[in-house]
Amino acid sequence: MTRREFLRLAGAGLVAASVGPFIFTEKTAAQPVTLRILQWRHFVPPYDEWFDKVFAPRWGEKNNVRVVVEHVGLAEIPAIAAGEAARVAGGADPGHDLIQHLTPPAALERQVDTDAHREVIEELKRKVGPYIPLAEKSTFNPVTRRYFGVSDNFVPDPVHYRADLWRQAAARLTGEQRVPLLGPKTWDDIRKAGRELKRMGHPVGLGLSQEIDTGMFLRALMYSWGTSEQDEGSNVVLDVPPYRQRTLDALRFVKALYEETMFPGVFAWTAASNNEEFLAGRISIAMNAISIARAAQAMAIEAIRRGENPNQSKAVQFARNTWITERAPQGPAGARGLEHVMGVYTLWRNRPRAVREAAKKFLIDLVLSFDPDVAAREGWPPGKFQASQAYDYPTFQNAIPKAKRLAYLRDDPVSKAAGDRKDKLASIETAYEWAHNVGWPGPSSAAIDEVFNTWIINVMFARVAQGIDTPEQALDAAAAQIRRVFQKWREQGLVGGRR
Amino acid sequence: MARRRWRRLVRGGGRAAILTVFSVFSAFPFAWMFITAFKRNSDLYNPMNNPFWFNEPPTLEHVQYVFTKTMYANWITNTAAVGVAVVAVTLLLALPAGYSLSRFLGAWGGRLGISMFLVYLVPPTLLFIPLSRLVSELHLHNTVWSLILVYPTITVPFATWLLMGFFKSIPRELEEQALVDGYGRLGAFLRVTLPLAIPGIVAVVIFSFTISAQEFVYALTFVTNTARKTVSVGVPADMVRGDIFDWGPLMASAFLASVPVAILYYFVLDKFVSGFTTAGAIR
Repeated sequence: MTRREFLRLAGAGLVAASVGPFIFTEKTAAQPVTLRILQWRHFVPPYDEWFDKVFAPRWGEKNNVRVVVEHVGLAEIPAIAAGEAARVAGGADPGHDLIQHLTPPAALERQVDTDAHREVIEELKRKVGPYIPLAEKSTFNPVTRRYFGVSDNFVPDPVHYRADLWRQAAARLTGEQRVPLLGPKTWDDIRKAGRELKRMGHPVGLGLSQEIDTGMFLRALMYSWGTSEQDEGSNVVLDVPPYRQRTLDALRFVKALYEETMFPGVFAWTAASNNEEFLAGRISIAMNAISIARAAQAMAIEAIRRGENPNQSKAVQFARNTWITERAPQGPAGARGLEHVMGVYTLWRNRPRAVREAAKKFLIDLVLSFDPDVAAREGWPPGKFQASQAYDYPTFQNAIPKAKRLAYLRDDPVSKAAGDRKDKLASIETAYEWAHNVGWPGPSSAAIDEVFNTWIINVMFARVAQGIDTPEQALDAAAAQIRRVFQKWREQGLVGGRR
Repeated sequence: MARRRWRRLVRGGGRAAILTVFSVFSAFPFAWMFITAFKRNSDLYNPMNNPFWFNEPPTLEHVQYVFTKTMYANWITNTAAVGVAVVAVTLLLALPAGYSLSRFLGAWGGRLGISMFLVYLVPPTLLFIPLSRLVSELHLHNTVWSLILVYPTITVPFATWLLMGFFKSIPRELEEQALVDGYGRLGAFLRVTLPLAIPGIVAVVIFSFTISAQEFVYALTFVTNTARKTVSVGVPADMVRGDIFDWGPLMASAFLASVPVAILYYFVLDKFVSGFTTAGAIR
């Protein structure tokens, strides 16, 4: 083929390809109401199957609403939401009606229908009982007294560890260095055993870079040291006595933890690193949603399907040795952890009345569908909790009663299929006692969101761990930045506090 | 004599070494994509294995996944459609603009050209919010037309600036000769100037198509329907599940999308390079 022929052929192909999509367009039947929803591609694929093919269409049929669901990666949601918020502000159609955010979207308060959110939350409180404090702090703005979202679920963030490696490390430690054989209970345990684990070639893997998991880990540690970015009244306190000393102690602890138990790769951590490094067998400890344990089980199920003997299969053994801690690790001031993902739906303001009512009903029924019996009765089994394989935990705690949650977790079908201990993940239930919101003990405000997304806390810790700054220098620089962020949002009337 | 030969050998060896390092550096991502695209998961996720080669027999499972479990074919088609349309719009606007700026406005043409080029430097991350309102007002949200409308805001300024320089390098006397021979301004432009500007036009075509194919921010915010996405958004949005990256399908998608572009570059590379380098050489 000559160059001229090739170019002619390629040009014709491209033109044909370009015309195709405009000729073969989708035809849609007219429906009275269309509800357009944007949400993430859930970590658990069967959840999307259930949501897209069972819940949404059957709910739509029952309520005479056409439900359109679109999925994107979790990292893409903030940019799309920002674009749609601009359209709402300009009085235009945003493109979607409901968006499921994975972090509290407090900065969008002026563009969302806060009254509809309140109505949904009050109705659900009437139907199933309380909205947990974690969700209240993640969706309610105490300054404007408005709900900028409705949280249907949160995802706990436990410590994952390799039980086989931990036992070996624990067996080597004696006297004051001794740690519990069945896994870490305190941050000090992680530091002591981490030294051995690093010597064994399996260091601790807790990020120290500008990414989400690092932000979660460091806040969990700060809160367990009795310090935080703000107090309950949204005053910046991390450098104010007595918090200042606690923050400095936390900074020194993380520096020691890095030097003794980790490796330089933690400064290049990404959102995928926890999973990849753990599942590759490199690291021995990570902090993550149960996606690590579930991914290990998925590989085990695949190995069993290939015909491997569960008692000899490396994948099955790996899944069996991937454990989660019973609670968040204890620090000097408590055992406090965070949510890993905060599921928060928002409805844009000024939607047509019929769409608004449909969205409210949809959210209420979605929360009620946590209960497998309700879901079966309504015609959309197995319901949100089981479809997500216990990844989504209800923020209306009684949307699925505790007994039903534990019944599932103690006889977990996924764990059983993986040849794993069937009640291995049952301890995740304790998350109600230790999981906190970003910005605890105050609300997850727009300022807290900006502080999180500009990685101020991450940078403060990383600079100390790398020896670039002293703890005092890093703390003073971070506190100054945080105050500027808070001041900006206070001037907009969205954040409280004075200091 | 021997010293000269020795010097030539050293110079040739040095050149070869630099080129080898540069080639390996440039080809590495492509090689990595290729290997990962056809690697079994059990091979890929075993840290004891050599990451640079196949430790287990290659597999087509990732390619199969891409075509059977995702809307990859749609994304490729959409990308081609948007690319071709953007190239057409860009040429339609940038050719007369570049020609006019180079021929009719004297020193002001150069200044205007540079100011247009500066527009190209405004990042999409700043522009996507106001443009998203525009797209919505025109009811183009969630259609590929939104991208066909918006991408020329990136490609036209650069293409105009590039073509302006190119037209400047073509002697006016050639057009004047055509005018004397009886052509009008348009005829002279079409029959004399345009054929001489082919390398510049090829450069614009490839630049515009590549920009359209790889752009992310506008494609992400204006099109959320899975079937209407372009490849640059569809692949990362649909092959990353939570915080788990499906590296096999991700690399298979990237590899398959880059092969046609690589072939296209191979065939027109000389024209593309000369489009950027021959300004002033025609004289």
